[in-house]
Amino acid sequence: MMIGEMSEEKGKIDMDYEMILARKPYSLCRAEKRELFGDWLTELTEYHRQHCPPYEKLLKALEIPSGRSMEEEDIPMLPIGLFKSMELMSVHPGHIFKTMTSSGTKGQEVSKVFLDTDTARYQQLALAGIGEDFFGDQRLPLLVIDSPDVLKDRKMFSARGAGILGFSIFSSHICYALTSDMELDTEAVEGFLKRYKDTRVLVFGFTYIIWKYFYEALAIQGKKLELDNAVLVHGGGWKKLISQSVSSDEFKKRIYSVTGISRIHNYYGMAEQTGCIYMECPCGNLHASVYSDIITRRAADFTPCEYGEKGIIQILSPLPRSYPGHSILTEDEGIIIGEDDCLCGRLGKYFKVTGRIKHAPVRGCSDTYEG
Amino acid sequence: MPRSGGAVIPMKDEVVILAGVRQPEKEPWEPFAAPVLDFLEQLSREIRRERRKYEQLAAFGFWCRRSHMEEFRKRYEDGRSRLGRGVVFHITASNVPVLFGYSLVMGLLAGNSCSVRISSKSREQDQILCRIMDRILTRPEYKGIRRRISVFSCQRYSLAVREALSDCAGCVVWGGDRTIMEIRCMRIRPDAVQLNFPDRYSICILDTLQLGNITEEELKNLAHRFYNDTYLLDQNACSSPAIVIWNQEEESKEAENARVRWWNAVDEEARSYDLTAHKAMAKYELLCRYAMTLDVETKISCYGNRLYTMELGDIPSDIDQLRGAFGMFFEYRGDWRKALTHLASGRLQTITYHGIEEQKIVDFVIKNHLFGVHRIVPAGRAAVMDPVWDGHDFIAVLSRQIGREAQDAFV
Repeated sequence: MMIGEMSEEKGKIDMDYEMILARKPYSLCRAEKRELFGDWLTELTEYHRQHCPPYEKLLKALEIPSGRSMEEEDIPMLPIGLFKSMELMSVHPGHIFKTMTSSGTKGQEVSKVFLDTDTARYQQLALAGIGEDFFGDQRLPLLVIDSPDVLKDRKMFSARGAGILGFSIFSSHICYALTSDMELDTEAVEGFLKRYKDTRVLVFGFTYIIWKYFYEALAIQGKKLELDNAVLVHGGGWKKLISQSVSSDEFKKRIYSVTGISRIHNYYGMAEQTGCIYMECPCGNLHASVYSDIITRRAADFTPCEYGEKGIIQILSPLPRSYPGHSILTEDEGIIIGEDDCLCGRLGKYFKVTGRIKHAPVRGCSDTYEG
Repeated sequence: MPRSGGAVIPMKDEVVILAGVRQPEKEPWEPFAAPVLDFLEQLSREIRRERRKYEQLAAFGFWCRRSHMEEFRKRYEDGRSRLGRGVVFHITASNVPVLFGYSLVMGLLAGNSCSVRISSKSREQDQILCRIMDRILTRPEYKGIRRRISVFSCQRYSLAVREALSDCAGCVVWGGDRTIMEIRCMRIRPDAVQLNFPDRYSICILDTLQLGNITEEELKNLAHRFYNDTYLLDQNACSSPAIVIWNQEEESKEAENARVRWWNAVDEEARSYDLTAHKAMAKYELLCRYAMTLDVETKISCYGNRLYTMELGDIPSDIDQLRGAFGMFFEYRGDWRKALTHLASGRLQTITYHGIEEQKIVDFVIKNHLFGVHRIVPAGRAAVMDPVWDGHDFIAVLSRQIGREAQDAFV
């Protein structure tokens, strides 16, 4: 390819991204989004085919021809586990700007997601667009329910760090509510509350961390914070809380009881597709924005589910360019409720996540002699 | 006793006896002793009478029927003098239903008392087998054999395991390489014999044209037996074929049709397979990872998610590392001899075949001095337990042969 052609190609792609990133996040109706995503993801599939050799091998094995225009549903999916066992990238390693890891518990393998500056920027802009829709375009004081230590290593950072860094773009001032020992930093929090007494503030953190180190600490101390003006955004999954039988409603009720926060938004998202998170609207539904989409699939043959039918969640987003993560089959299950007609007024698909796929015992000769 | 989901979970160092006694007696018996055969006959009857709905348990019940055990006995009627060794300790994989039963039977047939440790996470069929066994053993007429059986569960590194190991005259360990290495590090009597069944893999050789010529009924039958070899144990058993070798000289329309016809028949059989979301995901991930990492060209065919096949354009450098799961098969087309030369590392356990002469495979293995290939059985018989398993003779290893110059020399 000649240099002239390359910059022309890059110019066109940039234009596409600028165009979509300039749009309001919930402004595309079904027909428009289908067309846009079909074309764009087809093009991106070609791009990754040319730039990521293992991905090319997979497409070849699946006999997916080059140059065929695909619908969103036809875009090949990469199982999310591959990001744990392989290092997949579509850029020269020298262009990796940072490597993001998923927040696995100790001893677990974590995903490695390779970002160049472009992809990192797209993801940040997408998050900003989504955030703006929910909290307005004014920067707000941000109370992060986590320890500042999470951000220590910027080159190699976790989904927790990425979330904090991502949300910090909405902030005029950041305060960390926990110390490096994950204890409630009462002094810092009280200082923050005093300073922003009558201001609207944003509170952000991971669901489990909020519950374990913020809610429980406050509840034990019998403390109540004055955060009536705050909006709480939390994500990172319910897995650990479900094991403690804490439902979404229970979570909201308990958080309200110790902080007075009534505007609480959960979100669904993952390190493998950062930025384009799925925010929970006031009706309690998670929403796909124009930056990404969701399909649920049947275990029997991976055909798409009907609305209302539970299936394995596939996430699609045109944002990942530096790694082939534009179409990922997750290990979560969910139900798409509808599209374009949520009572909150946002366009796009809306859904619920029902949890992780249940791990059934597997037969076989190895892995014996347990417990 | 703490219970969870019907299973009894022992506390640390606690031992839960599931069948027989706590300490089996040590006295060796002659192989195929009458009380052992009587007990197995009764066991077979009672399993078959009431438990038809559990496939593996029913198969075990049928397997230990009198006439089958007598067949085994006849094999050792060679005039040599044998006696058991004492107590044989068995550690079996929890994720193969009723495997412990087969291991126990081998120990008993060889003339030993047996203690068997099974996982507290053992599944329903294992628990039922224990209950039926224990019920029989408590009857007065089985008092003698009861003293020679102890099936228990306990925690992984509990005192009971260490004691059983250090006292036994022999031990049989089924499981992954890691388990075997762990057990090997534990104290064991210097004269104790060990039978270890480490990680293995298996293949199937099908003659393409031969398969194209069988009737629909034969095809269905064969596909069903192939299903039993593979899907029934999530294709994770050592004996489940991971690779299908299509023996053919050259590619033709006829050959292609035969292969497609075969996989359609297997797919049809796999309809009864319980493919959970977890298995579907794990299988898809495996498929993608192989396609992305193998150093040869591959071609994937998907029959829904029930059946995936991956055709290998050539023999990959690490072909002996390929493993399927939940109904995912590698395919290679060409001369079986060429493929086998590359495949037969020491880990290659079973060859199942159809349309090839068994003797030809045996001759090839011997003539070429191959490390692997420990069993050669017709397709559909991969999981059928035999006293000769994985290259070892249970009866020979677990009993002692009393050497007598004159007699042995003339048998």
